[in-house]
Amino acid sequence: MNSGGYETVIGLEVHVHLKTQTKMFCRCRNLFGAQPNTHVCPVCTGQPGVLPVANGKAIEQAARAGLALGCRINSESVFARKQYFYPDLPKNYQISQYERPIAEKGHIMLGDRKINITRAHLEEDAGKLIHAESDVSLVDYNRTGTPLLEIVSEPEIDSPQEAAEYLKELRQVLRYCGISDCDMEKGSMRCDANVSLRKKGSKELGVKTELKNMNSFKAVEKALEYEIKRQEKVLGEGGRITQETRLWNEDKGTTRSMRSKEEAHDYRYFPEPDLPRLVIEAEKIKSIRDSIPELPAARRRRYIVQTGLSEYDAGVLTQEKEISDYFDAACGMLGDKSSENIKKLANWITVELLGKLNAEGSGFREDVISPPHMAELVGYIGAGTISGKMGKDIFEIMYNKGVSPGEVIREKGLKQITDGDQISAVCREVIESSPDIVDKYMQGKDGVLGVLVGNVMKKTRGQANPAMVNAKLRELMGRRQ
Amino acid sequence: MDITQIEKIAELARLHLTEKEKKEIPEKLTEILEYIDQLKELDTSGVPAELEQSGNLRLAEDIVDEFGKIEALTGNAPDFGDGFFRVKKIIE
Repeated sequence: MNSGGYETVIGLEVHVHLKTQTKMFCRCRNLFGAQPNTHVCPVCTGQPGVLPVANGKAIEQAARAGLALGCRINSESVFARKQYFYPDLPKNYQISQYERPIAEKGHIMLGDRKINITRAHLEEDAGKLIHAESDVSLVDYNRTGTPLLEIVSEPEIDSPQEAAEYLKELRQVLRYCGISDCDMEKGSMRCDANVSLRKKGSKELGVKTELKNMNSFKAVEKALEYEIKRQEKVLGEGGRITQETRLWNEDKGTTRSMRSKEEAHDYRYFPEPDLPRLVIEAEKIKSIRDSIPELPAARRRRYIVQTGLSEYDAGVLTQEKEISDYFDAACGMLGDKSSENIKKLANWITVELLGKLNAEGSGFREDVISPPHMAELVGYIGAGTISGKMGKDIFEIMYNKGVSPGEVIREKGLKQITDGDQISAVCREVIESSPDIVDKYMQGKDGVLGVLVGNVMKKTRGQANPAMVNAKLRELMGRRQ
Repeated sequence: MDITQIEKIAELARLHLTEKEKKEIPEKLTEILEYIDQLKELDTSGVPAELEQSGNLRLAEDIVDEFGKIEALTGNAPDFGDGFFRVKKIIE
């Protein structure tokens, strides 16, 4: 993005909670939304004399994230103490990684654009502060010690929209790998954005500000848009940008300076004396790499190139791994794997199934209609056994009762009638009983044919093959002429 | 080490120094720093850095083992009520 002769430079620091049973350095439960201070112990509340013991699963999750983002995993990495005083940090230091993080040098692809990832490092989260009463802040240490991965991008993002795209792609990758829920509203994904402007074509970076407190992708986009306009105005008037942390205010739609942070940026890192270096064997890295599923970008490509789906359909099907897995499973069970049939299957999933689940406000569930049932339904439609319209009625029954389409068809006698003699007989009946309409048709009013087709469909409870009915009616009336 | 540097370090470490201490400490700290400089003269090229404890990190299995005696922790707090630790209002 550039306006007023300036280019925007954005770098993102994303924190995600790692999915584990227990905290990073103690065995308290890692759980969101519990009663305050019910999952705490001497380690995570920083009592004297305690020692941290690192969570093997958290380290595996961090390495998995690094690998999924194309990073190099350092066979040796080091924990460090980052010191600052704040009531949400009972030890007065956070265990983090500084000089040697677990993962370095990865990237995320946004279409053809490559956004490089500088590093990803392991750390522990702080507690939660609630400013409820006038003179008191309340502290909940349940979150203290939750395993966190901080993922830092290079300053290569060039617009607020691209920042949002980066976040969406990152979230998708991490969710596919089961690394984190990445729920911004629950705080399991948080994003700080560094933004600066520079003269178009200049190689040097301008002075940046750091934006915090954005609780959704939309908020990240809006905060960046606001901040870019603010910086443009300051620079346009000949002023200078102050390097500072600014808080996004969602209600006002503005950012404001967070003065207390200005002095505090001296964290005096040093290697954590309570934890030896973290060594990950090559064999372990390999086994973690093998556990990474096919990622969303690869699936999208596969759907477009191999199965001929549109970019839009591929995007909808890959938004969650569960949906994509469902599509793959159903696709594998299709008897006729023509691209026409696959496209039909994609439509039944994205329009009917997702539409219904979304309307109910529930996330994706495959138990309402199992992949084999879905494949069977699309198979019947593709083969002309039932019409699309009948398919929708059958889908409703399948959705509500969990039965197979074959069962519904047998029970209700819903099979499409494709027997020529049978169709011919019903068509004759309709023609005999509607002389007025037939006359109109004979006078050249082709439009009334639809009424006759409709009557045949009514008599056959929608089971006659509409194309055959159409042809038969024309043929019969042609004969009478 | 001068007084300004000492005051900054004291501020970061939340130490309250008397005027007398502010005068004495720069000299003492300078002595320590000089000792470090002396160490730096050693030729350590070819010696791998061994900053941390020796050995590899011992990892715990990800299995919940709750402490369970929360009162022992909350009882130490100067102010605790309705499930929360209470501190002087943090303004941000």
